[in-house]
Amino acid sequence: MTLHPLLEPGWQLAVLPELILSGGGMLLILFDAFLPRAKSALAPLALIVFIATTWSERLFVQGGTYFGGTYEISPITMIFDLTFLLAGMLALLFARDYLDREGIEGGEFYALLMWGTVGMMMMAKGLDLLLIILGLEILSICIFVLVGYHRRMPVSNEASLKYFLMGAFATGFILYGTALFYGATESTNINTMARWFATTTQTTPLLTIAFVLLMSGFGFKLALAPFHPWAPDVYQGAPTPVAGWLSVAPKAATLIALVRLFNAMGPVLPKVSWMNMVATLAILSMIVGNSVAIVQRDLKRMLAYSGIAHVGYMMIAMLTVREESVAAVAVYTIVYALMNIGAFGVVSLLMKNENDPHTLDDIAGLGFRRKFFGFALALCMFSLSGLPPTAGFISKFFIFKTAIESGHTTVALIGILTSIVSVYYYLRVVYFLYMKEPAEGYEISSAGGVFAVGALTIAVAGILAIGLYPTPLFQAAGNAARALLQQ
Amino acid sequence: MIPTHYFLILSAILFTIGVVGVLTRKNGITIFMSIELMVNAVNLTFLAYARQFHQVHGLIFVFFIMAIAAAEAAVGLAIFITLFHHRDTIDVDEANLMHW
Repeated sequence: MTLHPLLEPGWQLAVLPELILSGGGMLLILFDAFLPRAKSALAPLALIVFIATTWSERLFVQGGTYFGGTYEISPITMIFDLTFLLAGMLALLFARDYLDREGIEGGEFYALLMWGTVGMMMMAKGLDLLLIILGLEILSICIFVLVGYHRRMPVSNEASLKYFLMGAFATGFILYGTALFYGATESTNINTMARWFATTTQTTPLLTIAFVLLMSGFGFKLALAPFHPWAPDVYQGAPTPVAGWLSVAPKAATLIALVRLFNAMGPVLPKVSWMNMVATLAILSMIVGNSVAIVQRDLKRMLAYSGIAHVGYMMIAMLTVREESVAAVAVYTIVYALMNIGAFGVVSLLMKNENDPHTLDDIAGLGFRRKFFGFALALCMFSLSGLPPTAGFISKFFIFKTAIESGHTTVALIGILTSIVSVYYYLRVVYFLYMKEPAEGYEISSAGGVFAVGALTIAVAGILAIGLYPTPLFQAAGNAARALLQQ
Repeated sequence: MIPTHYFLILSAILFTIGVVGVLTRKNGITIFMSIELMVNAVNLTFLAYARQFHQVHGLIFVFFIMAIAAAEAAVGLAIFITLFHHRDTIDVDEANLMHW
């Protein structure tokens, strides 16, 4: 049998994780349709699919490029794949209890989570702007539905409307930027573009416009200021486990795509002021995110603004694409997945009308009523604010260290100062957890079964393990980044 | 043969009209139509370049963009219908449950 020239031998194994996830999602929908009484089996089955995917990633996937040089599998894509799978699994475990409590559990929820993960994997592995955009769209369409999944709740519906209009608008910008890059470089393949950028001597205004369009589109997806206004509303309205997943995984996928793009543009970047624009976005995000988070009483909105600030930190490391900076971003996304989904997860366990905001008063005294939930939330807050010995400290430290080594001292300094400010609003949560009594007759109870406790255990163990013993992870990320940048 | 930059200018104008429409309109469906106009302007750009370079690349990109736009429309209309159930309107200014 002769194969099409674009199908290299072994391509089936190369896309095995994606195939398992997509197929598993379809089977889950069918399972729910034919056995509507067996809803309690959905989450365990979905978990099995995720674990099988992780396994196939480790056992069968070979490095290399596939599909005519458009699909690259390398150590860095494996690390990001594991981040996506970890985020998906944590969100799934928290979602199980949440959906069960709200009475809206269905196979399509887990299926959309899986298909979104497939989209992110395509973004991480795509060596062609077409694949990156296709992955981004698969992801976005899954998010539109997941955000509006609680369709009896007007806030959920409104959040999904806002994300849909903003997301589609941003996609338009990304597409137009890509079209103009295609016009300039005569290709959409990242490697071909890199060769063009390496030989070009001058840049045209057209290229700058293309870059600005592309960055504004990706800025929307990353929730970078000034493209952030959708984020607080969408996180507040979305089902809480979805908000946690949404605040982490798509950002990680967009960042790895940007790493590839910036790396391809490497030879041109010193000659133009493009990176100054990116630095401005990072500074604005850190300042806006951290200062507006202080005045938020709603936990989900506070976490949304804190997420804007965290993307700002990650963008600092992206200003110069080097081995260390890519490694720092890779580690940061893993740590961020653990602590942010963990924090959203505890919020998702509060038993409350989902249409109302989840305020700080709701968690008053929670640390004494539910000791483990309180401890986990407090640890996530310590980690988010970057206090040792948590993983948040070590990953943030490396971000700022690489930024200063690359010569971005001012930006790094602003980052350090704003992250000191952020300690205030993170520790306020801990203050409410342990030093505040709930108001008379206003006690929000929280419920969580074995799934939520399991997810929180993973998050807590991960934060402590990476915080106390970060060397292996940084080494793996460093080696992967070296392999990526040496091409 | 019509020069490429004629197409590019036309597509830039269409894209701008789309952006202005998104920013000024209140009706959800009209906003979505404006987004579709932006996407079609992008298609025109790709086609113009693909013709100039004599490549298939750009043409394939257009097919995928059309598929993406169709999928987005399906999900978007479902969201609008749910919104209409809740509010009896698809005016996006009425979607104001959340403030900071």
